[in-house]
Amino acid sequence: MRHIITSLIVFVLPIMAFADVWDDLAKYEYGDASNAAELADQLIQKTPVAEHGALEDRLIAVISSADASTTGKAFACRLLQQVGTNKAIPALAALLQHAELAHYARLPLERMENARADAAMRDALKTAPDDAKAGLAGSLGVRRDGASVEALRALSKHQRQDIAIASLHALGKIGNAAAIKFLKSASFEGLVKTAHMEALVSAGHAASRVDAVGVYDKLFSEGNTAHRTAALKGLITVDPDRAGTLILEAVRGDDAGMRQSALGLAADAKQGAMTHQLVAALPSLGIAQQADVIASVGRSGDRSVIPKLTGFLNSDDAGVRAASAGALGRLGNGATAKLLLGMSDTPGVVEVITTMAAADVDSALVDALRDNDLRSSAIKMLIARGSKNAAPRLLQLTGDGSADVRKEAWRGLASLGGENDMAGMMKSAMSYKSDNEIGTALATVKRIAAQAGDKNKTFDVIAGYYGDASSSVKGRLLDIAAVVGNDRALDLQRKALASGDEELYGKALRALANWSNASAADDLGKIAQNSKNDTDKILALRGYIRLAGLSESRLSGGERTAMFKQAIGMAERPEEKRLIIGGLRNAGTPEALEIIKPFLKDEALKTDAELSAADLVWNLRATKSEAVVALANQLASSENATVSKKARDTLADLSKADAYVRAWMVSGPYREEGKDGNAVFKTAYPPEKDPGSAKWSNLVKGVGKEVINLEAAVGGGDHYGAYLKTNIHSPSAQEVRFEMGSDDGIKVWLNDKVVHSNMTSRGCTPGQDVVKVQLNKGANKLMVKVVDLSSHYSVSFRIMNDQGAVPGLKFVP
Amino acid sequence: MKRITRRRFVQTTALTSAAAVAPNIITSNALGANGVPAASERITLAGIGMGGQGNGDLGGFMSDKRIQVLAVCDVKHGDLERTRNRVNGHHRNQDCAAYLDYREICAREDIDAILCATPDHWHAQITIDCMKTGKDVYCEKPLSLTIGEGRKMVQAARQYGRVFSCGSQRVIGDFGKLAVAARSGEYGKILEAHANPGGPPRQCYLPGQEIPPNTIEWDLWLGPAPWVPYHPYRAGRSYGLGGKGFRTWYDYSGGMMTDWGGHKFGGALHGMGLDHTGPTSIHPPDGKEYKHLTMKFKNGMKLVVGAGQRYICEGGEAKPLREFKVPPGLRWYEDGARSPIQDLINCIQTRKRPFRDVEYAHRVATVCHLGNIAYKLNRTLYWDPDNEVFVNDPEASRLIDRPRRGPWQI
Repeated sequence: MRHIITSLIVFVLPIMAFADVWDDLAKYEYGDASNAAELADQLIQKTPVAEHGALEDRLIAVISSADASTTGKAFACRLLQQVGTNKAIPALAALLQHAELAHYARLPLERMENARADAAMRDALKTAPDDAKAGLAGSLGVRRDGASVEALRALSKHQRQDIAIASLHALGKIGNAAAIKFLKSASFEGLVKTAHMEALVSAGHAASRVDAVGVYDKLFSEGNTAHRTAALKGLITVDPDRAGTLILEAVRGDDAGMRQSALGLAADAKQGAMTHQLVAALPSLGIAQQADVIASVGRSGDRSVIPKLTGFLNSDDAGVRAASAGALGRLGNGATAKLLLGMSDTPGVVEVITTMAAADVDSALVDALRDNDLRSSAIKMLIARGSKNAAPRLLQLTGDGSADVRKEAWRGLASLGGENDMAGMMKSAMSYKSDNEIGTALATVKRIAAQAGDKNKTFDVIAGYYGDASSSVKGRLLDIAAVVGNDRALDLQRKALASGDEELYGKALRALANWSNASAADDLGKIAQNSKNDTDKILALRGYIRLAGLSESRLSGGERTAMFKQAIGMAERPEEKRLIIGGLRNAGTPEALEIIKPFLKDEALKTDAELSAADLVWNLRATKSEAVVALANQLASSENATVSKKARDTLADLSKADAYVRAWMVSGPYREEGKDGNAVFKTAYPPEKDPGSAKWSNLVKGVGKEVINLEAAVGGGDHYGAYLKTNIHSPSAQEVRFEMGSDDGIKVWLNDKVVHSNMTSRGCTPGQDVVKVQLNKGANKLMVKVVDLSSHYSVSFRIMNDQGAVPGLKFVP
Repeated sequence: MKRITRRRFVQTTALTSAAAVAPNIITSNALGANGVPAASERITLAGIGMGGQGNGDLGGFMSDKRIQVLAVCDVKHGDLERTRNRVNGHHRNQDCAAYLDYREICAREDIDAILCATPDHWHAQITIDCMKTGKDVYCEKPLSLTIGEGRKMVQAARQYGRVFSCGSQRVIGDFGKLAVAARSGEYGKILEAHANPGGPPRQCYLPGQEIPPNTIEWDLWLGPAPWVPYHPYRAGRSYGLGGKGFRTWYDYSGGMMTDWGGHKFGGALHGMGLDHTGPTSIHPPDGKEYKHLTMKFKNGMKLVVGAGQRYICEGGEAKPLREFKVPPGLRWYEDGARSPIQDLINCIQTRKRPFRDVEYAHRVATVCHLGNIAYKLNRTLYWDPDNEVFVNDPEASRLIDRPRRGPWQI
């Protein structure tokens, strides 16, 4: 009893609520205001599977009704696709006689697990109008209904080509003995012949191994290139020995398409015997065919063919050599890699070795570093493969007796060395006699030092050699210290500056000017201000300006601006002023704008100043400050087209920003157990059905410049909604555009009428939906409902006309 | 509502085809000057479905000197004419034929490959029919309208020995650029991927309208889908589920779930090494254990259709990496290609499988379809990814495929 009562609550009540649905569905036409088809679909989705029987009865009643509309019956058939059972079959069978509804009747019948569905469609083949027959044949083919072969055979001769073709396709899919017997003996012309050949392909799939051989043989002898390819594919499965021979025939034949397809099939088949048959035939093939076959064999995965393919690396033909290298690269291991290394001049071989996947390839290449003839190529390959494990061996080679070997080793280390190799690299570098060689080595050390994570450890390695080094080497070490850039590196520079050694002073100053972060700025600033040497002053100032703009400096906009401001006080020449003005464009502060302004009147610097100012006003547009707007207006009339466009873009964007509605009252969240977002969207909550009872509050949280974060406003979750409302005061009656974005669904009322509704699933960006509306003069009531399905929840609302933001609008929640 | 018969398609098509025939001027381009392969050595292509995406893809093909476009096809007259003029302008001749019916392209033996960028409900029919005539295929994502269609597309590609790439230029880059690093083994064991492509499609109840003359071949636009009266929003291109484009409607699309799923799930599953299998259970959101639609795989990994694009690994959430090493031998595109289109062109020449091979595309599309079916039935589904059947669930099994309107069969 308790179960029955529960069922009544869960099931009967909803049906009662939808009581008119079935009557409306029977009269339904596309676009009906009753929404009967949609409501019936919803009812099925809400009803437990065990209770679908009652709904099926109502749908059967609709499709059986003499008075029901064709559209209503069509939608009932769609719904029966989900809930239809045996008892629906007679009513559906009757619709198969109806040219317009036969397809809809097949929607449930084709997918039912019931032999009576076959019988219904089979019977209909004889009596249904011709327009329905091709579809019926198709469904019987999909269901592989063996009992319909006789009828389909007859229809394959039908005067209507579409029916004949559909019948042949169905026979192929059925593929039983009777169907195959017919398909093997039949003969057709034109498009029907094409269908016949395609039916043989399908039949081959469905047939027993023995029958399939006969099917594919017929196809191979009578079909076109595409059909013969399909037959070959079938024979590879059911008769692989003969397939190998047929593939070789295709390779030797004149049909390029067939040759190409056959070798593709052979590669995919990965059958050992066939692969060896192809390899054995290689010497008897022409050059072009050899290359194609080798490429195909290379994709077989069969490593046993490696020795035979290796022989073709010495072919007179470059194409064959490249194909062999490619095949060996796919199949081979470390030993193969070493073999290929010897012919790295052959086109494509470098790429082959670089991409070889075998686990021992890297170790084989490292081993090849011992070989004078292979070393250079091996280093190139190791670099290309990013083989960091080669570094220890390369480090050893930096101590080799041959200068050429040492040079190659440093080349390898530049790419493959790491900070853990620094000590060994320094030791080796400092052991050289030649200044040039030391320079090459320390250039590599500098490259590694710049990437090192542990700056202190890296500096220690370098500093250990500084004291005893020659002046020339000291200069190089100071240069390396600049990329390390830690405090101790800075101290080292200061000592060099104070050493009294003029040459060393110059090198330290250059190192500071190239410093890798902002920590050298003060030292440079002092030199720029105090040095008596003009060249040093300029060098230091330029270094200072560089550090002010350096992204690696990690300075705030304010800090950068302050540095540029100090620099402008030190700069005397237009060259440095130009650098400062250029750097300020990315500072992004109002102060930067003030620094640039005077240069807008300086003829020598006006162009640079305008370009930087245009970037700055764009970057500062969010501030909407009077200074930004005034300068943007000034720049908009610049003679420089780039400047004027950027300024106009800024003004347009500022105008757009004015268009966003940010003053709202909010009501919500609204959610209900068991209702998803779509249902929430369709449900009228108090703000839309009983505005007086809705609770509203001022929207405070989550209000961004363009987007309102409703999660912040009403809380997070999924499948819920909220309402926003405000009043638009318009100075005149006018047409405007509501441009909206939402995550997810949005519905909009203007003066109590729905002007937009879009239940969708998307992220929110401004202007996703656009609708033209008419505003009254004076107050206009605006309400927006936003529904979230899952994840983020937000909305964007702006009001525009063709000129941008609509002037004079006021928003009073 | 007046319905167009097949006889009228052929007549219209014949007229259009005849109009396409024009004096043929042999240009230096045709003879192979300026590093362009001679016309006889180029891959000949036909574009089918020449709307916005189709034209974008076509541009990608035409930028490769190995491609000669011989024909274009669309059921929308305006798109067809515009695209033909564009192709002729590109090749500097008048050789591009324009067809309203893609079967005219099937019948041309001089066309090597097709680009299919129609709405989703046509993908299987057109690509399978073209493969049966020996043409290689570039098909826009999502691959299919149903799971059953996708499997048949894979079978046809294999049986007829065709190269088939499903376009999705963003598979590698889209998943927060995490997929490539994950595939390279940078994150260790991945436990979950989170991605949300968007919602499923819905049934269309739009009223019928008169078809404006010389605009669209409506019956041919519908093709295998159920016959319904014309409305511009059924066939519209408007993106999203806003009710003004075909992606909104169940008869023609899997909605945003399949559209963006091709990108996001494609990337996520590739990074996890799950791009050639499928989930074993699909759980719609229940507000309790499953906040979001969740799919579980045999190896315990999960795909959560929830916020963000992220991997949850044994060590926590995977962070994007600026640099990492791709293991030698691991590659995405063949022979140095830099895009899915170049990848396909290379593979047409070498007969290798492209990165976006049809099997991979089918597996990704299947995940999307399973998500839509779970949403529709609103209960846990159990899936056998090896045999591609639901486990003991006749109701769900009905949704693996859909009957096709006669005479369309695949």
